[in-house]
Amino acid sequence: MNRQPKSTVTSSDDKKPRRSRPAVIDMDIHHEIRGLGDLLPYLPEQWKRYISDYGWVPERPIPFNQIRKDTKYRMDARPEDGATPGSDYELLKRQLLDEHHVEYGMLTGWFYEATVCKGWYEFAAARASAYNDYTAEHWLDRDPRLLGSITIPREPAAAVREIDRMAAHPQMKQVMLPIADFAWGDPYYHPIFEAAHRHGLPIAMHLSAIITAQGGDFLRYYVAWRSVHPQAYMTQTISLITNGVFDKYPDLQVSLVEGGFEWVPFMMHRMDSAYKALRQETPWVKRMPSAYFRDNMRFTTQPWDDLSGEQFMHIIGLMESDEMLMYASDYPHWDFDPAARTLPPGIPETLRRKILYDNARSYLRL
Amino acid sequence: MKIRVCSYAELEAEGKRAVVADRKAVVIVRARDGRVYALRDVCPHKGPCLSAGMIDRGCAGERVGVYVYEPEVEVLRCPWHSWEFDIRTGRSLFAPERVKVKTYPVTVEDGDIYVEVQ
Repeated sequence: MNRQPKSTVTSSDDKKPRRSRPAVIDMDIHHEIRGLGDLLPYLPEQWKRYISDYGWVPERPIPFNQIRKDTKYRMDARPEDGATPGSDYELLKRQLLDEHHVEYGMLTGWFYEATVCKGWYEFAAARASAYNDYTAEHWLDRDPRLLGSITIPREPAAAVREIDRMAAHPQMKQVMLPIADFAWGDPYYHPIFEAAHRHGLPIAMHLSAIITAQGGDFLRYYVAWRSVHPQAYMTQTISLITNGVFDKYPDLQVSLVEGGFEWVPFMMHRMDSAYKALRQETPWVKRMPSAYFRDNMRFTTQPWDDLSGEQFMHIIGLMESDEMLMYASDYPHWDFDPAARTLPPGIPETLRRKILYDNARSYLRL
Repeated sequence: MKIRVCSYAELEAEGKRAVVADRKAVVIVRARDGRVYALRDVCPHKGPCLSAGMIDRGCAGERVGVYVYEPEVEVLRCPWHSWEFDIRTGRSLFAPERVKVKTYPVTVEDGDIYVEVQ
């Protein structure tokens, strides 16, 4: 196990002449367990019994389904044996890695409940560890293109132990902090940032199913709940900056995954404006907030909001940086964005390459 | 030129069927009333085959919380982003003048389905 990732594309069919497509790093791939049974080999006996004998299942806090086959998944992503989409390596390899020329793919999983659940933290820590071991054995060890995100429990001491345990795996390239109804910038959580920083790992933040207070209320339709996700991401970015996370760990990188990016220049300017007047309230924040956005935060492209090239270039101009965005597909979820049809025509090729590859490579220190 | 693409019995069993006519990817769709339609089998948004999606009922509503199914409207729903295209016209439900899928004339003769793609 623990093979080193290769530095070049490994095609499923090396006999075919390689097409001249740009290299791609996909920063959001949701591999899945087929069911909780996949975790049993990695759980201590104490906790295994709750699943195998006593019917424990995770809390399901949001009520929504979509009126479509396979609801949150691409309709063509379910394996032939009927297993959960995203749980079949061979299908994921064919539909995503090979078809879309993904040189590296970041597995972000969909097991955030172990991090954001309330109470019973010993069990949560055991589930997080089991999920990491499952990911390493069933995914990372099978394909050097795949990279992993360390799932952690929320309780900081246990989270640090898990980061220390998994950071040695050469394909574990970031620590995942799912977004729920609390802000990760709070000093209580700083040991987690310290541990990631100590191991040279960036932090990823991705929405979880346990976001119920975006903007102060829980909206009654899925279309509304999904549309206000950026508010939850705004809360996290502001929390990180005002709690001095980036002053403590100046070269820490944080990626905000699946939360949009059009709002980013708005928040950069709004926070800068507030900082000029209110700096004395948080004097440990030493730089203009927009500097932390540019130097310490990255944002992924999916879900792409169908911007034209001209609209997109306005946003890049307002950000004053072409290094803040990274491509993500969100495979196998329904709002999947293929690499070749995400960025609009009419943008500079250097920018396209940075978003599809270079910015992620730098973030991941590949 | 009319091209035979499949039998009506094959379509009846599946509801929709991906075919190739003169090197063009086409999806044949059977409506609830038995009529047959043909659309280009490519979503104009991100490119997946619409034939991998699903046929769904048209749904309208004027008041919050009230859903009205329109028996005359059936849609082909994209397998990825759920965009809805009217199977009769190829027009999307959200921007029918601007976003649409090409449609082709279809005939059923002696139990076989023919498409004109030119």
